[in-house]
Amino acid sequence: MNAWVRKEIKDSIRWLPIGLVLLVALIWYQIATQSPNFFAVRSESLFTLTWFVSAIFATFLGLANYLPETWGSARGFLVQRGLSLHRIFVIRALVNLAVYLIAMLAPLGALAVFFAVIGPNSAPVNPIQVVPSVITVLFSFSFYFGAIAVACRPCRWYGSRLFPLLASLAISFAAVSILSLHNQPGASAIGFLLGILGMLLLVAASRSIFLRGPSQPAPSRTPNISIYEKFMMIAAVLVAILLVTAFSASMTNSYSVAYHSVQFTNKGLPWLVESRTVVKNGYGQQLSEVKFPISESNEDVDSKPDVAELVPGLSFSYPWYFSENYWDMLYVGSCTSSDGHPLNVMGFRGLLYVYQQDALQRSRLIAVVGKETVGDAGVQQVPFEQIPRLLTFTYNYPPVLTGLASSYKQPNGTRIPLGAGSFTIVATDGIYHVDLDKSKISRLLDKSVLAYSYLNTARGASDSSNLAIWDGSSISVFRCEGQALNGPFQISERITTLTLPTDFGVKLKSGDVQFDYRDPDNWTIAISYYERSYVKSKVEVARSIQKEIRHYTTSIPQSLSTANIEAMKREIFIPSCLVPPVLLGAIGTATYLLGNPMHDGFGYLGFIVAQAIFSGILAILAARWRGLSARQVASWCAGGILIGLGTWFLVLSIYPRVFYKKCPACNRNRRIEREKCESCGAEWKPIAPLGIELFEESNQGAEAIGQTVPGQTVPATLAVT
Amino acid sequence: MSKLAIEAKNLTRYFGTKPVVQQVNFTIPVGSVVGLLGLNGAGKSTIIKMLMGMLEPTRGSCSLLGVESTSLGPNERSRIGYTIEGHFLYSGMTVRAAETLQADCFPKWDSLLFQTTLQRFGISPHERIRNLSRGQRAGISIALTLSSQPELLILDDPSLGLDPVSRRALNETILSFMEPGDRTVLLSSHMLDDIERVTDRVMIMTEGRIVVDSSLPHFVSRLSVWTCECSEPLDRVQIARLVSRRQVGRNASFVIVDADEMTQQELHRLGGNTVRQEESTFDEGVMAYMSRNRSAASLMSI
Repeated sequence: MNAWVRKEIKDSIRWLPIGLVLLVALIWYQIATQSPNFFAVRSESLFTLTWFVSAIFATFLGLANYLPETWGSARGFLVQRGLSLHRIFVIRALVNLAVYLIAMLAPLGALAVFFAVIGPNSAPVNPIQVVPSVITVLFSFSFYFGAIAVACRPCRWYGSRLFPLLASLAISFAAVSILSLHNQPGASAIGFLLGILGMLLLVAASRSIFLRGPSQPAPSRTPNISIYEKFMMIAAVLVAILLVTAFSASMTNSYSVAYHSVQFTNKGLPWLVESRTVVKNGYGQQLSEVKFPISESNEDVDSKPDVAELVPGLSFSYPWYFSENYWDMLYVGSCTSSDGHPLNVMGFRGLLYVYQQDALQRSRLIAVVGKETVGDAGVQQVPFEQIPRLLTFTYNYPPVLTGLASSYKQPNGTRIPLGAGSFTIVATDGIYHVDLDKSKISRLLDKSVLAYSYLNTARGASDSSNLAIWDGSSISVFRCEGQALNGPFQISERITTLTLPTDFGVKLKSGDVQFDYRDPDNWTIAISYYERSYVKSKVEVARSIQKEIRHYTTSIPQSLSTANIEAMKREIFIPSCLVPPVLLGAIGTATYLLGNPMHDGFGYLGFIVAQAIFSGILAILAARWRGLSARQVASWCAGGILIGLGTWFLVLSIYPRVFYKKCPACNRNRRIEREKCESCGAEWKPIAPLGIELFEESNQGAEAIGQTVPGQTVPATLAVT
Repeated sequence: MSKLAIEAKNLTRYFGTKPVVQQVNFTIPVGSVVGLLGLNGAGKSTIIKMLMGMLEPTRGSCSLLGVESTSLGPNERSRIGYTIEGHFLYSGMTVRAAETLQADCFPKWDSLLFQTTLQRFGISPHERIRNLSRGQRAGISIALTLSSQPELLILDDPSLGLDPVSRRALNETILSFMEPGDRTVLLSSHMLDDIERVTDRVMIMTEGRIVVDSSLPHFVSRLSVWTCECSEPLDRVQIARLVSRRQVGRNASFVIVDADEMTQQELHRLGGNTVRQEESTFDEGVMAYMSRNRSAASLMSI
């Protein structure tokens, strides 16, 4: 067996440079294009790149290992030895796993070392960014086993031969779980478990296909399709249905969508605005805007305004809404230092890393901001609960994005003297001011902050800005002096505190919040959120007019939503024909039970039933076409009812073709490989003798089948054909 | 009753709806050396593949050394030697590496026999297989097969494409392998003199069925060759147990199995006093069976 291991190592090791070079080249390209500051190097992009390369390389290894043995006499030479095929399969899998891991992990290891050397002092990178890529490398080995199934399944290339790779794709998708590890460890664990289970099933399926033999042309007497192979094909067909449905839906010629927002009159009266957009071939085009008052019952307060007077309110910002992950530094914002150099602020695990950029866009870490101190990298810091956010106006875009940085280039390549400025940050427990010159952090406001917003100062006479902070139960408005970025900034006084009448706090986290504020006696807060199901949204409004707080709730009018859904239903009819009836039924039932059915009852039900019946009939036809037993036909019929139209293809791709001949006894079709006729039970007749047979009596073969033996006189002539 | 090395019962194989092997029955006792003959497409390789478990029978069954062919495991396979048509080998290996690989998989490996066989074919163990000639590859293939000291040897057209020297070396190797007398060989070939020299029993296949299964002397003794001058077109001639006929101008010849009185009368009706019986040879008999349909078809065009 050792010799066989050596043989497999020699066979596979020659492919190692292909994977190695491909991954190194793509990583090199990725890094080179992000040099010198590496702000855009993210674990997600490395993950995608590695996923692509590892899937291709694993597939290549599987095909290179097994495909040549489906040609000529190679299979016979492989089989005819005192070594079981199972052992050969195991040896090959282990050897190729080793080759694959070397090819894929060596470049990732080198990248991790590179990150460790340059980060975080010169760039916002760290070695653990490659961990998701390592995970995807492990799961992408499923493509090796998918490729074995592709090589060994005796199917047509334009038929279902490539389908096992879809099962591999589904398994490798489990690696995506790693990217959400920080937020949802439970979901990640389930994803991993499913991926590992799928991998084991795929290994068993490819093994059984390999052992069965790659070149068993039909008809096959004992198809011997393993349960694992069936699972693999079911998974593959479901993935195919998913892809085709998603692609069809994305290519649906046109469908309309409606977006809702709240706008305000000069007197603070909220109006609902629906923007209708038609999407054609993936591109949206706005059609119209419909505006109407939130509640007709507020006419006692305000008269109906001129529609043209409506203005948008302000939105709250959510510090925790960063797409933070466990692996990457997160871009928080940009500002400038006291001497005008661009500063990029990155967040990582509750700390802020401030990078100063020189004229050549090279970065240097100048400070790490913790909750209590401003220090250097490597100094122990107390992190914030969440990554803080720069307090900034929405229109204050970072200078690096506007190209401003290039204007700092100094003549003769002289380096700009590095300076440091200050900025204000919003954390979950208050507002902080960071003075980089003095390496000092001070708390401006000690208050819980769930959301905040700068108020529009353009309406007021003062140059000062107002800051609204939502703490979960009330909104406090503060007057601020100075600039939040690059200057002395102070929160001077609390203007007012608005205590809301309802449990807005809960809804605030899930909805869009708009805030219109003029003075303590005249403000409006509108929250639009989804109630109970994702298709039915509500708008809730709290208003204070002359210190009297009123509260309104309204649903988005059904007429608008219904028209929209009807349009979409018509457009997605064709792709939804492929969706398994059981899934359609589950969605319909769930939305019905939640009180917001996305369907019109009997029509939807009729569609599901019709699809299920049609699929069941097709499954029966396919199963009978493949000569399955009555029990198997019934099982696949049930499968057709549940899984839908894909079952037809599934049956045809799993089971080999069967062939029939006329039974000489009953003249009905009978299976070639069966000893007895399924209709009349007759056995095959012995073939007619040619009359020239010559058998020595000691050789017993002829008598058994009634062929001519010496002594018999069978008149025979040459068959002239 | 002697033990059976090979047994085929009602062995049938279809490709699609086309029958390639039809209801074939035969047994080969331990110690026999059997030649399997037939035209291309007659079904010889298909039978061998079914025997070796590479191809599943459509109907019927076959077994080697008492084990169903579809259930042959590593233990049984290590007792069987099989050279594949075309002598497939891992061409990237050296001869030495190929030997090491093979020796690792067969417990009764005879390294001395391997070296001897290599010398017979003039092959250096350090050469890479892809650099060898077809004859040398055949030699390695045979050496790899025989050195595992199989109880049963199945050779599928081993001399295909070999020059006379390589063929002679091949035959010598096979003959020396059979010397102990307890080894069973099934040799499929187109080389009639090889078969005549090596085997003691012959099976001839045509149209997917075995039409001859006999020892060589018995086979020759039951055939007779008749010649006559005949002006009548032979496609209208009806002679019982006529294997083949040929006609060149007025000279016609017939190969007949178990010719009897009625057959001779019919021949005399055709050729009168010109009818003569000649001694048949092994080659002539085999050629008559193998070219049976071809000669009939050619007559149509005369």
